[in-house]
Amino acid sequence: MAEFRLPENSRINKHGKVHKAPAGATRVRTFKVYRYDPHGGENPRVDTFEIDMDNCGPMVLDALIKIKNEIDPSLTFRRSCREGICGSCAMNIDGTNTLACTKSCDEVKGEVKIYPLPHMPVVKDLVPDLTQFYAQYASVKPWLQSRTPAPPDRERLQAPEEQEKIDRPSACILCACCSTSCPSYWWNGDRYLGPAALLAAYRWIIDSRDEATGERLDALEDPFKLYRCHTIMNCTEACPKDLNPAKAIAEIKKMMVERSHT
Amino acid sequence: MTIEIREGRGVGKDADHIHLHLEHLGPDVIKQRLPGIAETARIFAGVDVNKEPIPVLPTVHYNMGGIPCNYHGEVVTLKNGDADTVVPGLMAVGEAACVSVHGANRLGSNSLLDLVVFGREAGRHAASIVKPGSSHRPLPKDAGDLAVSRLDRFRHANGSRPTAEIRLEMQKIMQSDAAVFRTGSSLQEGCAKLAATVDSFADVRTSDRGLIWNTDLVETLELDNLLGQSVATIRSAENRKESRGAHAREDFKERNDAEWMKHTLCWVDEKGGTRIDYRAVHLNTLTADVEPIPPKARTY
Repeated sequence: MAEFRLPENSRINKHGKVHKAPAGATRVRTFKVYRYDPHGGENPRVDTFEIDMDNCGPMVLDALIKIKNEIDPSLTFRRSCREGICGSCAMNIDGTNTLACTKSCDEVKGEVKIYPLPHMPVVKDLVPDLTQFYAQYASVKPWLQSRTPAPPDRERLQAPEEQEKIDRPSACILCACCSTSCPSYWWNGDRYLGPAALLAAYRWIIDSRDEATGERLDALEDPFKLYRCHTIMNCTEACPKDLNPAKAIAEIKKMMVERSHT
Repeated sequence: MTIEIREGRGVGKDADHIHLHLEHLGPDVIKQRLPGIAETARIFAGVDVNKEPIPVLPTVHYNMGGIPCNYHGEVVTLKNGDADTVVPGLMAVGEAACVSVHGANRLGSNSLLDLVVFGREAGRHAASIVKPGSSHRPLPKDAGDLAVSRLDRFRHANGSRPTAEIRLEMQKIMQSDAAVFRTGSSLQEGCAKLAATVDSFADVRTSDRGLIWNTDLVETLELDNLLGQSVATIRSAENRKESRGAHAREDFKERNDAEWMKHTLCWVDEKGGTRIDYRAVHLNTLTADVEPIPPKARTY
């Protein structure tokens, strides 16, 4: 079997800086955090931070903020709402992609290992470059397309059942946990749109007010954009909002088949 | 809620919060109307809202006031006695702006007004005052110097107090002395403490010297802004000797329209010093189709 190694300058130094817990701490947990400084040309490393959980909030994000505030202000990560609605603090914690703000430290056994979202170019520490991810989202034209003019005196109405169909898919916060957990996206991320963008496409395809369904399906009729999904289901497993991108992709594939037989 | 807790009817080990019940709404209504609340309660309090009450506490959810604007989103200032003097080319929208439709308290969902009505109008107005294809006036040669020197000063700041330490001190002062209920003495104490914190910012220390995704630097720039905001907030609150909307003074419990039905304008200088003046409240509608609604006290 072929063996692959990361290029010389990408190999991770597992023995980075170690920050010991303060003396007298009784409930200590160890956080192993991926660090990469784009300046200086050094390889990425894993730093160790021992945290006294008696003086720390319950979530992984609380620990990261504590580290940044009290131990190493240069630690770099995205965060904003701290309540699971902005999607900024998506990262790989204990081997799974999730939001640091809603992941309780108690859910992790042993050392808490924190890495950036996998298989993305790393800008710095825990910050991945999501340029491609956002471009893919934009490519599905995630807005209402309708040729019928809006009623002059009110909104475009929907029946409650029609609204219910898009209710869950609309709850996507674009954190990128799903796409970056998908092996198919890892290998073909340049051409396969990935579960997040496809879930967004699905949300507009099934919107009762949208009139561009045909064009939307045409745009996805491509060996890579849609059909690189091999129903691995990591996306649904990873989604911190309990959404089901895998099912949305399967529904799009079904629609493709149905329209080719009518 | 704060009254309930302060008067000893709080719950929990330290009687420091209260319980919010949603069970009576039933699982269907909760699922349909309050899915976000249910999720937040489950994740952060381990509470199933269909069965148990949620522990809750009042907190800041919006900042009343802001950069004074007219209804086109143009920033206005007080100049030669005219408080509606437009600052040419400067606009503000959203929570940063104070078009002043919310008064001294913003009601739930009213933030949409800033977005849907005034955000739109600001865009329209900007498009109407800029002539397509017109060029900028030439910038002065040193136009960027101030911004760059500010950036460099913080990026290389090598004092004794890390950003997070000064920020926490500011947060604690604002939380304890400019909270829901205020008194003259607590506000004055807060003003004095905050002035010391502002002074100590000259001694700030940053650790990240990089130019790529430097959040240490960004947080320090933000803290600079927050300190100015805090000074304006607490000084204005100390100065306003009445209660109105979310500004509840225990030493001046009544609303006093005769003296205080006016906006506070506050200028903060480089050193954290303040100057206070006022602007009138616009009480009339812009059209004859709708009668103005005279202001009155909100009672509970």
